Amino acid sequence: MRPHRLLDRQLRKLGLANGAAPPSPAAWNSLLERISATYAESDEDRYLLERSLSISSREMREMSQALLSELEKRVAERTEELEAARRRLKSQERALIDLTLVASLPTDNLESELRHLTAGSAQTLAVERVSLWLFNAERTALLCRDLYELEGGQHSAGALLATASFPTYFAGIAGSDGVAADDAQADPRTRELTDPYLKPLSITSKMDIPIRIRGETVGVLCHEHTGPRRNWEADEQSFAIAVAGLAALAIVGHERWQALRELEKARAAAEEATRAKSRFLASVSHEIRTPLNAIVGISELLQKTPLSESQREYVGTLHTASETLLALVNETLDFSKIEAGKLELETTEIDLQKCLDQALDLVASKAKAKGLELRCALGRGVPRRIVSDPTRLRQILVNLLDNGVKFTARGHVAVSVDWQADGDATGVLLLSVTDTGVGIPADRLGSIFGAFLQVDTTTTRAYGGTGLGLAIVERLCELMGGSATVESVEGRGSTFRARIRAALPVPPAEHAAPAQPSPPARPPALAETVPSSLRILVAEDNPVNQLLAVRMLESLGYASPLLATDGEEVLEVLRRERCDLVLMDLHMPRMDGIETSLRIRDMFVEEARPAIVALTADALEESRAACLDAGMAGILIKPFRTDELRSCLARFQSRYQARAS
Amino acid sequence: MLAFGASGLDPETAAAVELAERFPNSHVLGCSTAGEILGASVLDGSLVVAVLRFDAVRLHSAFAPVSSAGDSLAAGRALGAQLAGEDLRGVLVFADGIHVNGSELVRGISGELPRGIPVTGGLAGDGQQFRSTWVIGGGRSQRSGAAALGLYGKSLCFGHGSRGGWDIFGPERLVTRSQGNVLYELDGRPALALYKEYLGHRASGLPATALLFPLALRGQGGGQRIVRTVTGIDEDHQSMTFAGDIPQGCVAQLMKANFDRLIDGASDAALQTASQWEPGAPVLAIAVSCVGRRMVLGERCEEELEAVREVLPAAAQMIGFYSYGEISPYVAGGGCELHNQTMTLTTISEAPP
Repeated sequence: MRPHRLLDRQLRKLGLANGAAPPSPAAWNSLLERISATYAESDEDRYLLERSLSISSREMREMSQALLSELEKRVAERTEELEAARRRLKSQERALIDLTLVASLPTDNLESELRHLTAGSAQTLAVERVSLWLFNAERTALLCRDLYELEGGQHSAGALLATASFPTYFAGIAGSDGVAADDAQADPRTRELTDPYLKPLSITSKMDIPIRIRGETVGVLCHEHTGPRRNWEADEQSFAIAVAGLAALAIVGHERWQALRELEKARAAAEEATRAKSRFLASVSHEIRTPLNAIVGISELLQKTPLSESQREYVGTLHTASETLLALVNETLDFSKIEAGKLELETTEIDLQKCLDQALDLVASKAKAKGLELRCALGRGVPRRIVSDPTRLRQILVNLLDNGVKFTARGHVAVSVDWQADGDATGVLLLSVTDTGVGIPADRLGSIFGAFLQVDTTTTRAYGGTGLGLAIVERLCELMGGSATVESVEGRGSTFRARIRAALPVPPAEHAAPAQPSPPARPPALAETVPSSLRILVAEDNPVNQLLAVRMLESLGYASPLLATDGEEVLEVLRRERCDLVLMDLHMPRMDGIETSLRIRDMFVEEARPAIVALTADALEESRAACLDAGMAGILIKPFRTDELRSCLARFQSRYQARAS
Repeated sequence: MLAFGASGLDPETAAAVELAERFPNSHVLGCSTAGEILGASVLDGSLVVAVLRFDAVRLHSAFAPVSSAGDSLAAGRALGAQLAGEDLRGVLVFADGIHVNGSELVRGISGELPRGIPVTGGLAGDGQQFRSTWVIGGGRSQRSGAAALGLYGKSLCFGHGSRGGWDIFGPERLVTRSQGNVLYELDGRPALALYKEYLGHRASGLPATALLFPLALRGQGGGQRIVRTVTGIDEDHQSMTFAGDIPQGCVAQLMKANFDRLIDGASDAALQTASQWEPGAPVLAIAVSCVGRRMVLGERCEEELEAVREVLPAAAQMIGFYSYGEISPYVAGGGCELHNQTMTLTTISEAPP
């Protein structure tokens, strides 16, 4: 047996050769001692190793516990950090919503909006000073439009920073999305500001965001922190950038608001100018109409007196000229009213046939004088009655017919009426007027509806007129929801078409009779005189107009009307005399027509009350409304012609007769 | 001529001085000891002498005074500079064991020599008193200083080996606070408390038992371990003092003694020199073992000498001493270091002409 290397050495040391018996008990004892020592040493080794292991294991346990608690601590810290960040983001989000509402509703008060932004940003980010600066027009300086200081909650403004003094700072702002300097006094981007600005105000950290409008830097939003240096978080920078954007929005909004207000002012001024023009025209037309009334009326009466041949010719010319002048004044007034947007449409039931007849009546004498045939056709399916403005519908027809008669030397002028239903109770009324006249050159067709335009200036000389007739037709059609068009062949004639939207009365009217054959049977001309027992009072202060009215009434068979020169007299006469109809001038001394009408209404019960027709040169709508409000039954616009007076009287005659019976 | 003697011998008048005077043409080197080694015997209060004579090997000796530990590096450099020369094969150095910082001395010498020149030897001892040592060099014996001998010539065989034989236990710990040879903290904890914790009931024998539990040191990046013996403890500062530097940032590990392994270690040191003997030529082995080993092994310390002799050629002569610090490269061609708790062996032989 080969013993362990170390035992072998021990044996040799003791002289105990391998395999030999111990030479003496002493040597044996000494061997046992050595072996025992080796065991003891081995125990000692084991003790130390186990101790070392137990220390290591305890250290590892402690270390793992320390790691665990460190980990828990870090997780708790991180959780708290995240929670704080979440709260911060939430409050930023809320603030942004509030500020967006402020900035996106433009008002006249930009300063107030900017104050909201600076205070909102300061409170949300907990920054001591938030200020908003805008460049002056020359871009040589930034002007502080608002500074909010968190501690005192104070706003101030007015500080100035010259751009030339801080070139690096301004270049940095203009060339970036913003400068966030944690250590502003040392940061190269903001160091220029340290001595003159940051140190005196104890500003340690600075976050400045450019305000840009359409890519141009117009100012800067500054966040200035005092106290220990501050590390600007990414979300805080994003928030500040958003607030700077809102500032830009508020500025642009304010500029727009201002521009809008300027426009508003300009429009109001234009409207006022138009109203003034309209008032001027009304008053001028009134002034013109009064003497014109006299001329038209007197010349008409004069024609009926015995005259020599040359006198008759002169009076005829006088009458024609005065009528032309009257038409001119009326058309000009109408047109200016339409242009001023002052024309208000009536909506009443109209008997189409009657309306057509009245229009034809007005051009009948002219057509007859030129030897022209007037034709009229009412299409199948055209309702008998529609709801529209009778005055304007008649005006359209008269203007088109008058135009046709004027430009036709031979042949006929034909009017046809059609209806295109486009709903249960609505439709388009189509009026066509065709003539066999001179026609219109193709190159002028496009501008034939322009104001003050005839085919050429020679036309005016050859045919007369204002050149406003067709322009009025077109404007009226448009006002009534339709349009006016023309077709023409030069030398052969023209067809004008007017379309207007209209409604059917309720209950729907019956359809008119089938179209009449052409040429239509013209209704017999109304009698020159209407035998009547109507008692009429003429209230007129102007003696010429009074005479004119009396003569016209006489010519129509109403002899010896009652007379009054003012309202007081009217009331006096009415107390004495029975009276059926008062022709009442509106402008009279002492008591005007409106006031007098109101008194009359109070004086009589309805059955006994005379009807009142206003006589006025004032054709404005306001006047018309005032008359109707005062209980008047109708209006005659001066100067009126005998025909117009007759039509008016006819209405009351029939009513009177109905009442009498 | 190498002479190692009891520290109690008066260096001014004793035999050491006589030796130097009697052999004026010889290079005489030596020092005081904590036990003289002659053959496999350990002697106390004696003077042991070895005489070497060479055919072709040339010798050159030098001496540098060291009045305080701070002079050690400069003294080393002075010695190295004097000994550097053609065909230098090895340097023997013996220095004062109280005032000389052995680590610095070796660094100084090695720094002046070509790489790979082995520097071996040891620090003088003073029994177990640690008060006063002496060194023979420069033609006389001195109280302090360092004596060195350069050996030149292609025929010289200069072998060396160094082993401890200590067991490592416990985890490695970082030296977090130290100053020179005083250690304060390991892994941020008081060094002495930690040391005691590992020793358990054996801590009651401190400071005497500290000898049995030295520290192994190495750099953080790895490298060879060196051993540091505890020379004192300080309960007030919870610090420990060592027989060599404990640089901050090194990694330290506890060691423990095991008689059989220490003896085995000595045998390993001898085996390291085996390839460096000139076959058939006379061999002188210079054994420098640590005073700590002698204290640990006690009466069994001669066994480590016997273990060495068993490895050496039968005709080899052995002389040496128990020292306060051993000097040797850890491996052949490596950097020279001051060691603690090792058996360090230098073998000298000459190839025949």
